[in-house]
Amino acid sequence: MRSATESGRGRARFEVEVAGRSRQVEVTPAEDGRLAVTWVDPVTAIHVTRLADVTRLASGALSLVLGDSGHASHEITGHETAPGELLLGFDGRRVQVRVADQRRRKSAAAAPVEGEAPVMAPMPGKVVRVLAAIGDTVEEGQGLAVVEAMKMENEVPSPAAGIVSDVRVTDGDSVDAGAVLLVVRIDAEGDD
Amino acid sequence: MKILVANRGEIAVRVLRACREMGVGSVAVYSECDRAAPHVRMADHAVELGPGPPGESYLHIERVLAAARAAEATAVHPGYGFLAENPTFARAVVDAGLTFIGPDADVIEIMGGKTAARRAAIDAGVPVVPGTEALNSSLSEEELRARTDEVGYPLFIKAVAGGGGRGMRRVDTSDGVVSAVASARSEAETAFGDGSVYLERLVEKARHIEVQVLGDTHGTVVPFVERECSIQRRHQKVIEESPSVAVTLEVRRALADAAVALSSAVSYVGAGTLEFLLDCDGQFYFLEMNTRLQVEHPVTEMVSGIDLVHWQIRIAQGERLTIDPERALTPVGHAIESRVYAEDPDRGFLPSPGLITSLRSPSGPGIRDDGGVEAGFEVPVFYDSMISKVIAWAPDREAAIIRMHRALREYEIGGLITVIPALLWILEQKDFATGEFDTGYLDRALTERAGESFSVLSQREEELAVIAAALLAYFSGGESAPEPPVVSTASAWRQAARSEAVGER
Repeated sequence: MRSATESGRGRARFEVEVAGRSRQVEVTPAEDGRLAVTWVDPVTAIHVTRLADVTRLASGALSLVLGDSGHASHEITGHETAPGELLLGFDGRRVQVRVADQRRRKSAAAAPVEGEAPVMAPMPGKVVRVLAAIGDTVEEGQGLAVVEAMKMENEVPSPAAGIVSDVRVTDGDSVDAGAVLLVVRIDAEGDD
Repeated sequence: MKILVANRGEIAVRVLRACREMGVGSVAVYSECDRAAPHVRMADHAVELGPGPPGESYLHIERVLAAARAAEATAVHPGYGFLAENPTFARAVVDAGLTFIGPDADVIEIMGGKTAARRAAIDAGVPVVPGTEALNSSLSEEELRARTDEVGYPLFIKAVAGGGGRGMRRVDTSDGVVSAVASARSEAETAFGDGSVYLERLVEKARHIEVQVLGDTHGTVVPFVERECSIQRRHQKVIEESPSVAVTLEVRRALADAAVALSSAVSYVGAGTLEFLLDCDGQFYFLEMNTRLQVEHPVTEMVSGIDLVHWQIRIAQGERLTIDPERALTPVGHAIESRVYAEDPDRGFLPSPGLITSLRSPSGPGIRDDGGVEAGFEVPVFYDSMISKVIAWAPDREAAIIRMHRALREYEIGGLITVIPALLWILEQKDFATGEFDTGYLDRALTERAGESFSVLSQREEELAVIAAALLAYFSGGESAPEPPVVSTASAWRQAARSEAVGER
């Protein structure tokens, strides 16, 4: 195995969000070829350092042996579901995490408060029914369209109360995941 | 014999494997989006049917028959789903001069109709859930109450044309009967254009127990040890096992006798399954018969050591069943099956089709993985979301549960979200371990969870996730993308790194 330092990359910092908690994580090549991973625990404020012996497998998964946990051995798959969004898999668990390179601006995915909110297809499929028309007043959680995939129908809800300002699909359309189905104008005074 | 397998996915792979094992010629069919699917390469011949939507491919009878002609098939195995229980298809296959691997079209028709199957069961002396035929719409209120009292409470009012719970009402006492029938009728009328309804007693705390049978063309029917399929989410089976913890030797014999009585009464040929409800008192009621191979057939194969698909083919070749009936009814050890659906359990089991970037199936002692996909295959949106089944066998149930848990933790499917975290959670439940469940158990347990994630992390796991996320980012990050350490060939990773980098933009 070649070491990470040989690969030419030095120290790097990332913002990692797991379980809704964000921390600055620093990865530093150690002299023995392992990587030191350091962060401040967001709950206890304790500095944590873990020495990781990392091998990337042909499948793309990581094999990790952690020096500070009695040589705990783990296999972890990572799949980028969206820019900066990783789906990790280990021990039969699936965990969605966010990672941002420090140089990149992190786009906050906060809940929509006001303005035009696109309503997107949650998965690829076929639009079975559009349930709202332009000008309709809709409630938060109200079904706006039904998308079918794998013989199952799924209702796509409105993200907030508002008025439908655009309908971009019709019954029978095939859509990709993330395709905009409708747009809802969220009225600020509608909240509370 | 050359068999065309009129199906896709894991069941096509399963049947094609049997063809190879038996030295029988085989033909695969596929839709456009299944061109790269594994089943295409497991057959001697492969014929494209048409575009992805099932109606234009796997459900298109003419195209399937044309494929059989083109590849000179002599028999058709329908698998399950699609055309497997379509009497028109079975008839068309025979009319085209081919052997249909399954029962006669007439038998499919009788057993496929809810009321006809029920009548056949009653005639054969097999107990059915107490109920009525379609209610006459001119019944007076007194007559209606007399009928419901006769069936007993609690009961369901169900639409004859029904499905999906529409036109269905639960009634617990005679008080609400009249208004419930009226509203069920109007709902059924709106939903199906047919307002007729019937009554059926609700079997409380019922378990789903089913009996596999094989029938040959010489009049022999062999019943097998029961399967239990009570772990269901919205009537969709999730985990099945054999034998059932709730079935005594006495009930097993009685179930087998009932299954033989009904199968013989309709001269059943091939593999079929009779579904029953079993109540807390050990009383069982016939529900319906599936006139085909079942998704969960492997658990029966594991505890009996009998290959059901081989026998389907041998029966179609006119062979006599030579299975020792005692062997079929006496399970060796315990088998459990978990269905791996491409659905996101943390988002209400939302379908999750997509590209499988990496795949490692579980293996090792007592594990069987019946899959129909591989790395690099894009799971299409058109078909069922089940991508594979994991079957665990062990000398007893407790060991089988532990083994299944081990196997599911080994299963790595990259790029796709599956129900594996939810399966692990079910296996960890005390009620599952003790066998205290019924067909409503899983839905109740899921409601209780109120959407809590199946991947809640311990502190140690959270730490691991932080480390892994940072390291994955470290190796794929930014403009100065480094050469990561790689075990074998670097090309696979370089390829992956490049596509990830492209995907970021």
